[in-house]
Amino acid sequence: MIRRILIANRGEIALRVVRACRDLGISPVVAHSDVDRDSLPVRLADAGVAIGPAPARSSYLDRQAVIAAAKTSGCDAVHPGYGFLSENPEFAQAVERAGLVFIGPPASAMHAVGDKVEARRLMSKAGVPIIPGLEERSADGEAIAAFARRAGYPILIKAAAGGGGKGMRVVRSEAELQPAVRLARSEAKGAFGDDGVYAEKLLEGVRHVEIQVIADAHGNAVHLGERECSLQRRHQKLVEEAPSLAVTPDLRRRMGELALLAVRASGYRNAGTVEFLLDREGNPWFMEVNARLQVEHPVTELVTGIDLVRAQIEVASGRPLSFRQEDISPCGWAIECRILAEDPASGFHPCPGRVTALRLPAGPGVRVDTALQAGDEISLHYDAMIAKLLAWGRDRDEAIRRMRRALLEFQVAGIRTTIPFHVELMGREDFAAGRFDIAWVDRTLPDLTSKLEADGDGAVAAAIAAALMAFERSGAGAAAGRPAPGLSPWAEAGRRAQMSGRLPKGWA
Amino acid sequence: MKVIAQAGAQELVIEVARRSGHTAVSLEGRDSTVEVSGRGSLRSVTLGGRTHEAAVWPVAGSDGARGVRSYDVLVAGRVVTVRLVDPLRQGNGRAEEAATAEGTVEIRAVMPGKVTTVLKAVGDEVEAGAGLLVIEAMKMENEIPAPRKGTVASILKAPGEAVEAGALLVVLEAR
Repeated sequence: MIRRILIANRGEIALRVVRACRDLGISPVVAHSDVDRDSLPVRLADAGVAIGPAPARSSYLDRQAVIAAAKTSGCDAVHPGYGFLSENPEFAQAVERAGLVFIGPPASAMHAVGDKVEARRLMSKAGVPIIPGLEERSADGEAIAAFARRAGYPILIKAAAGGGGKGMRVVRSEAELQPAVRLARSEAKGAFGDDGVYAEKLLEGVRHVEIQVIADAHGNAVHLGERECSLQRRHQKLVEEAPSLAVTPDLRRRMGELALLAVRASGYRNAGTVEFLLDREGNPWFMEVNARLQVEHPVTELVTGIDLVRAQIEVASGRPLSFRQEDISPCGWAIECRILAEDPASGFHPCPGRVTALRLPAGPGVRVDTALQAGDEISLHYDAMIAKLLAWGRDRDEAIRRMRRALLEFQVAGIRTTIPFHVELMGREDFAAGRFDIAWVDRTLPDLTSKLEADGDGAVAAAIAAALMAFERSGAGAAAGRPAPGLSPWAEAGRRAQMSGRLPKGWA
Repeated sequence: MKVIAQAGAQELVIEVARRSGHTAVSLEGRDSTVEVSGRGSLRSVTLGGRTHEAAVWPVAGSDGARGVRSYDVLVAGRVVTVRLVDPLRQGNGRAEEAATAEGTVEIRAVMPGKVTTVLKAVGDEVEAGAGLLVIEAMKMENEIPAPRKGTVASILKAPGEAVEAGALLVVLEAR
């Protein structure tokens, strides 16, 4: 029985887990770095435990500090969220050794799928089709160069320990190889603490389609259908949806079975994702298993009605899955836009800074997963994702319309974000028709980002809004924005009440 | 207050004043039908019967020097930088932008971050697109390329050094 969970993460995912805890009557505790002391997940939890200074290496990646925080705060389980320590088998093991439940796969399964090279070997043996690639991790660029000469360019360099696009580079010619290996290794080291990399043949014209799975400790494993994540920029997912236009019911069944093969082959438990590339002929190729809850899990939640974090906690506490394969029948369409603190108009450069004002969208079919509050400082120390905006509709068209509506309602002041990019994307014919592959965004980027600037009346309105702010900031406009000069809000309220007494009903 | 506002392709004269308790805006010297509401960073501007919701904030580092202030505005899902020029101080920033010495190219940080690696040394000849140094920001490493062919004249940052947006990183002597 789990009664108190330490959440070893930050931002929207920490808040997501806090909420699942509340739904289950479990007490949430959030481990936080110094700069996250006042963050929303910490405020909404029963307690916050400081685990170190802002740099992740000294806080969110510090295994001892996290486990000590769980012990001192009286927790009996740890939820790692995604990123940070979530796919670190040594951490999972250390948590278990400390007498705590790790809410995630067992360390052995994480080992089996966590090393991408080992996972490929395992899946190949289990009968899951794998992309041609290097059979072992490489200590230097030589083996990779030899593979590339054999298989032909382009190739993809990947972090052996990684996921999420970190440490991943496309190489199209021998000349690009060594610098790419160097950057990939350095990025992999920074993100995963392991600079091992390997190479795969780069498949082109393919779509990224992944299958959500969950397995319990009683031998039950269920897949929750697919998510399409082809809209990526430099291997970073920007938009995800469920279901996928490229997946027929037959293919869904087949990919689901392959995903469950992968689950069984690795002795997997808890929630995970089996990622595939879908070629032009509709053949799925195994890419990797993400041994954690994924950023884009809510699109699956919206179409299946399953609360994945709740299911994770239930499975981790030893209960059997509360649903069977035949209970899963996706309904409608869900889309997620990742809102990043990056400026799409200038090469997606990071835009750290203080969010001075915030208005979140809402309404039918809209879900916003965010921990952002007005006044928050977006720190350079962490990921640039500030919110996940989700829209659900009975069909894809309705989901897109609702997403557009929500994007236009979404107001963030103080930093540039990727909202304009998503607005543009949602209006594209190719997107509406589902004509895209994993390279479509990168290929179309100059065009996609050339029209993000307000023009016409929008630009005039922007100019006026700026002039108003300048006016207020100058001494001249000190009184601007107040209801009336010389009257305090209290006096004004009083006068209003007085007046309304004299007016006929409905006039006040 | 009267300003010349440049937003995208638009250039407008805007006058803002307090008149009998509310804020009046005139465009291009005409008392317009502009209606405004909201305060602080979130504004609502009605033009010709259509309301535009705007989130507005000062651009970092825009200090009003030479009578120019810049604001970023998010409006209808698009974003634009508005330059407000004080007509009484016409010396706006244009002249300075063009003042970079002939033949030299300054490479500046487009984002704050930390220099992780310096890939070139002073005196190195570089081709356009060659990596000069690597800056880490938000967990991603970004190689900063040479915008054109040239010789590295100076490198102003060392590995481990934090850089602000706009900080001068490398000076190239163009060939």
